[in-house]
Amino acid sequence: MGKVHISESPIDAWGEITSLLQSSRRIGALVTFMGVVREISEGKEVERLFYDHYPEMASNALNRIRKEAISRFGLIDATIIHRVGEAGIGDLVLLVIVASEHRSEAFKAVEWIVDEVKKEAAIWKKEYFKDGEYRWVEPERSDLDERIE
Amino acid sequence: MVTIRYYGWIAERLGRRQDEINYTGPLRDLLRLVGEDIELNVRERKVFVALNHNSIKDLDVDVGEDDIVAIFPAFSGG
Repeated sequence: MGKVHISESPIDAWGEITSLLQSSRRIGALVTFMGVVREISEGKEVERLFYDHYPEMASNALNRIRKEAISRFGLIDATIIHRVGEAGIGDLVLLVIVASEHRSEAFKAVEWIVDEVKKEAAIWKKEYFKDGEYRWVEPERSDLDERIE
Repeated sequence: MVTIRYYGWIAERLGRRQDEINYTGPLRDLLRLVGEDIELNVRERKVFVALNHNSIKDLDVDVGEDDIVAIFPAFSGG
């Protein structure tokens, strides 16, 4: 079964994929996006990330996005899981899985969901660098302009 | 009591995650109580506000007993 979850623990991607895959025999395409913590950000070496979040608003947004994606793209089901708290290099921090009858709508839906999560989920990313500095990540200007319209 | 929650760099700058204030009145004045520049930052869209878990732009709305106000920067998850 698809779901929405905000997790302080590591995400079991394969477990989630298997769960969604086994939820319907109508599934003909299953597309996955995995957002992973990378070592270099804007030319600096990252040590770790911290995600702050507003639980009620973040959860409401992820549920709305999942529901709208299913309706908009005619999906069979979808799962969205966002990690919060501390995350190290290589950790999976955003998992989006969509299941549909055909691949075309699944590819489109995954991209749309990831964009919406970045714009609409009340989650804030802080990067800690290996040189001891840190910064709160600013959203892409285009995301911000779209959100405040 | 009105609960005021802070997130992201705002919580870090204020040095706290939450306040509880005995207050009834316009949201705009409550924001000024929290910090001189908060209301200005909201007007300039550098900071955003939610009332009872819903984003809100109308700062003239009244808040009071049991309301939860959240003050936060633009989202940057993913």
